[in-house]
Amino acid sequence: MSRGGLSLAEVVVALAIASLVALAAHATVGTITDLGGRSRDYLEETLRAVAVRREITHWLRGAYLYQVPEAPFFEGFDEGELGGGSPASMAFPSVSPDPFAMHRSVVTIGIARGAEVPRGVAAAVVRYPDRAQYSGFSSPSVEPGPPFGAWMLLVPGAESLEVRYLPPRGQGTEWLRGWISGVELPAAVELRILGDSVPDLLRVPIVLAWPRRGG
Amino acid sequence: MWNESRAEGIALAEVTVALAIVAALAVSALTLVGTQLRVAAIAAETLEAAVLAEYLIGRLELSSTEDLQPFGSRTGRFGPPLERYRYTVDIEPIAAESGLLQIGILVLGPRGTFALQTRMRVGPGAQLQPSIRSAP
Repeated sequence: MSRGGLSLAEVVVALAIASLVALAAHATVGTITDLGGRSRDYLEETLRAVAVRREITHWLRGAYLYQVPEAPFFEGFDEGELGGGSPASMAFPSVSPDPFAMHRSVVTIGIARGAEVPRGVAAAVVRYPDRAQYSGFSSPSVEPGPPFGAWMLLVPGAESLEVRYLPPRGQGTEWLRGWISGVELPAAVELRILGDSVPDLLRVPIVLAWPRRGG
Repeated sequence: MWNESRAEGIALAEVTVALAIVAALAVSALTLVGTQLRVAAIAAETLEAAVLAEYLIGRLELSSTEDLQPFGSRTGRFGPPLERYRYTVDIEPIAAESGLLQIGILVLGPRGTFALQTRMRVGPGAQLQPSIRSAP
């Protein structure tokens, strides 16, 4: 009795076909894995950008001036306003919820230049009473300021900030490059984050208008 | 003990059926992965559209009544690098409330869209204040 097995030639052809199918499957799986990775990265980058925008907006929305002696001012400057090459930055008291659960903090947002904090947009949130430990405008590259440990990097790789301030109603309609006041917030702020490696969503300006209120 | 027909190996029809089953499973798996990728892309673009809608709201909050005239519908496209998104803004006054406007914003992306409804109070002496905000 002869068994109907495969001849050597048939086995070789079958193996060749199986190899081609395996190669195609490998390429397909590789492409899918690559697409999946890029899709995941894109989603993560988008979520991170949304979180950064929300956090900055949240801090700004909570900006509050106590209008008492020794209380911190709103101090904001665009790039170069403090002298050649000085980075844009702003510091302001905020009543938005903070890590200290006190709802009384001073938020500073500025550009880190890579000395102690990696290059990018960084922010520091310190307790309001700690504000007495230093004075003057602060940013990661301009001393004095919050201790370096207080800084957190929000947008790695960002090269500069552009910040403009709209004066309160009745005080002009031109956007200003700086705002310092202990009694009045600007009507609005527009913040642009610049840099080649900045995600698309963070290139969209952050615009916030404060409703008129006391304090 | 060998059965005569079993000893002759697998028939072509059986091989074809087996391959068809494997192919169907592979296609199902690929479809599933493709759907997952599409959903992730739609989620990311919807988030971007939501941020752009909030940006438009922020811009509108800075506008005066005159800036917003004439009321009605206007469309546009965002600039680079998000030029793939278009928007429609509908502004209608609420007759019963002087200075109160109904704002509808729709941001359309290639796959993700986002709609936002809000009301704003405008007018001389009144700081713009969004009063109701909802995202259907």
